[in-house]
Amino acid sequence: MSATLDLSALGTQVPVDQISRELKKLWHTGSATPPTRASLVNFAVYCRSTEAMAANTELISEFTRNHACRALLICVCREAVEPRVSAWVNAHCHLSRAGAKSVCCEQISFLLEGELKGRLTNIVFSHLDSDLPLYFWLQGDPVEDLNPTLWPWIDRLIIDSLPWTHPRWQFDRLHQSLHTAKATLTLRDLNWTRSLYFRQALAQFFDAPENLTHLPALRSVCLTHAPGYRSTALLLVGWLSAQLRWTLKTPGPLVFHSPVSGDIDIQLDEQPGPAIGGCTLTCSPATFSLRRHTGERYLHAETNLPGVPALYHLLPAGPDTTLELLDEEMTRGARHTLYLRALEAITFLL
Amino acid sequence: MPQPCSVVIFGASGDLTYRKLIPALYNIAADGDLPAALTVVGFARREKTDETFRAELREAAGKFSRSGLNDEVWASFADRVFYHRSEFGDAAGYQRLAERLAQLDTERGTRGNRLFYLSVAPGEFEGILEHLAAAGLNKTADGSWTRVIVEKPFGTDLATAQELNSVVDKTFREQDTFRIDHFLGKETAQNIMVLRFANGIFEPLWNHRYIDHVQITAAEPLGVEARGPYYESAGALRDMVKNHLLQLLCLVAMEPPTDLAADSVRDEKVKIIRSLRPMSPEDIARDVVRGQYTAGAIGGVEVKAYRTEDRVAPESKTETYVALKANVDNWRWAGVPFYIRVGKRLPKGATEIAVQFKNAPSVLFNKGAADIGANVLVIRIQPDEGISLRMQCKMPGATLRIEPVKMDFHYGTSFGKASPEAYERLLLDAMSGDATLFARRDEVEGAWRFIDLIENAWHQADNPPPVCEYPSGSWGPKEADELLARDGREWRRM
Repeated sequence: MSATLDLSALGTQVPVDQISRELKKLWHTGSATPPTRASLVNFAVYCRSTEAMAANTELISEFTRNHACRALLICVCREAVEPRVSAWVNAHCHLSRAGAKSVCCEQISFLLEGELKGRLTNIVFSHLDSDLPLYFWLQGDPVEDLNPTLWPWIDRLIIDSLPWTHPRWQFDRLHQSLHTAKATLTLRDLNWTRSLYFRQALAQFFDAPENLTHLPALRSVCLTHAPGYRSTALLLVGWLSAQLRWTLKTPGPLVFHSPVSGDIDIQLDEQPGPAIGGCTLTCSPATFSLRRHTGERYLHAETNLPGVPALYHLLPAGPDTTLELLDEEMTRGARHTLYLRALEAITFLL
Repeated sequence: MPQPCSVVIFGASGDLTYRKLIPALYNIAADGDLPAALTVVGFARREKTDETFRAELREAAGKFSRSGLNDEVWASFADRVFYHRSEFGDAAGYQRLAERLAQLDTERGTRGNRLFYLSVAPGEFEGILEHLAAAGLNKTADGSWTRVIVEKPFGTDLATAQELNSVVDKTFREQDTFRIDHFLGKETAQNIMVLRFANGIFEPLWNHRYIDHVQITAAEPLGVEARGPYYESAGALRDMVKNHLLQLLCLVAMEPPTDLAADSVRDEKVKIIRSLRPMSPEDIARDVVRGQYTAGAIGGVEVKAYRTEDRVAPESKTETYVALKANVDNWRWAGVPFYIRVGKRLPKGATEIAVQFKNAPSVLFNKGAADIGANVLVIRIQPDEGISLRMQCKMPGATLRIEPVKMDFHYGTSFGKASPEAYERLLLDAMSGDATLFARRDEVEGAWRFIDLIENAWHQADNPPPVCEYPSGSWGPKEADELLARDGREWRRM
């Protein structure tokens, strides 16, 4: 552990075997109106640097404003020579929406140094709030093998594939690990969530029967994404491919083949701005276009049909920050079937 | 409040005296529930004076008392504590004890009432009881009483339990014999009957029509610590399942008693013990898993394997984990399995009973592959005593997303007064002559009948089931998971 690093945000450092006792102390305030402890889910966050612990604590503090949970923050530093474990307990309290009660969530933080040898699994097993689902946010690259006994316990595995450096190989590793998971595990990729509102807006174009008739004439898709967000844009292409049953024709220039529309050209443009800045579907002669400008919370949707004046409307742009993405995740319950189909369509392009 | 009496603790130098018995008696005194005329006499082999004994106990009470230590209360309590040095096999020591108790009767007004607490190894029971009888200490004068509390294990199998019971019976009447199982003194264990029979909503559901199965778990992260030799001879089955877990099973499964008299309650528990389906060697091979911990991690710290613990045989086959499926063959529980698991070096310390109800019908929200999980009523025996009910709830939002939520009741935070320790309640009951929370002879022997079948299959069969290994810090061997998986179930997440 870095000697200069400030981990005071993690709360009170406690002996590992005293965690339950120290947690109880958090609630014995002596106040006439003691805070209410709330938990609907076990939210485990796995990170790999002590710097990330402080940042995650801040994030968890905000996260618990809307999502009551027991948070387990686990930092693993395998490079340390001597195995050591340190623990902290903390509570994040917020006034409830009604304003009268202070509702608090527990956070237990662990710093595991040295070889794991089952220590991570034991820590997760030991500190779960019983009978509640376990959401496990695996930060960073899934390059390390987690203990297989952990997988069956996870109800929802949250990842963010955006920063992955070797996504094709990393997805492959992830798939292998998931074989030991239980059938009900849901895989959620925050990178997929980034495009959620674009996907919803695109689908919404074709809810109108007069627009849907133009979809078979789709000829090209033009996507704008920010630097570093190519995988986000590709996942959006993967979604189109999975939903419209396209197959890849050529990877460069990128062309898919639709059994209905024939060849579809895909153009990915990199421009500074939001993760995804725009998407235009050209269904000659109609076009359906979404634009998002930097700093704006809305998508500008534009529909151009032949012989009809252009239609404009605004739609919510969805989450940007990690916290917003997690918020979005918590309100959704979908399984990952569609995501995996989208991923399969573009894995080789990653 | 109980009548005045002398509590004589055999094995007064032992751990139980320091950690549980004296802190419990002190807490009763601090709560004002101890009669003024009460004395405590510690009987043990080591050389000590009353003063040194009191000084040691004071330190222990300060450390282990739930209410801390008040100097004034302690001084008043300690004034009634005495030490009696003697070998357990020394007849003269018992004669001196009789004289001393008689003297205390006179000086302290304990009225000839005696409560003997045998906190010693089972091998010592017979000798102590015979010497008590020889010294006339089992006899009562008119209007007084003499009782004995016997600590578990009550024998090591049915034959030894019967023998031990015969010995006890020769010295004390069954109604004066209190076989203690401290689990029954826990607030939540006592609350099981209240939950079932004082609420209108549970009992109508408490049967095979609505309950899918019951899980009883006693998990602890500790290893055998310094108890290697004892554990080598006992194992998890005898140490935990035979006593504590079968008692809990009885409380969950029993019929409502006709009244709350000790024998009415115990009659119903005995019926459950008798209804346990005897297991054949084939049943045992299939439905009982025994395990032993290997090296692993507890609380992030590496711990060693059972076989490398102090004074444990390197080739030991003693089980530190047991999982089994029991069936109660009566009308109420037909087809409802009771899964029991107990283990050392598990991730957390918790004893709980989970009553899992049947799933909602496979229509609407539970349709097809959308298994949304069942309702589970959890009775937490220790720590954090309380009750929780898991139910399904629609999460706020436009989409239909169903997640489990818990209604949770905690003894620790719901009442202004802290729950008494199990030994407090049990000691008070024994002083008051209430045997409801103590095991009766037929209960103990019936439990051994069930357990002996398993022990015999493990130790006498030609082809005994294997001892499955599990890493310390895990939730037990994979074979235990398979035991439930075969029935399409899984151990609940604790």
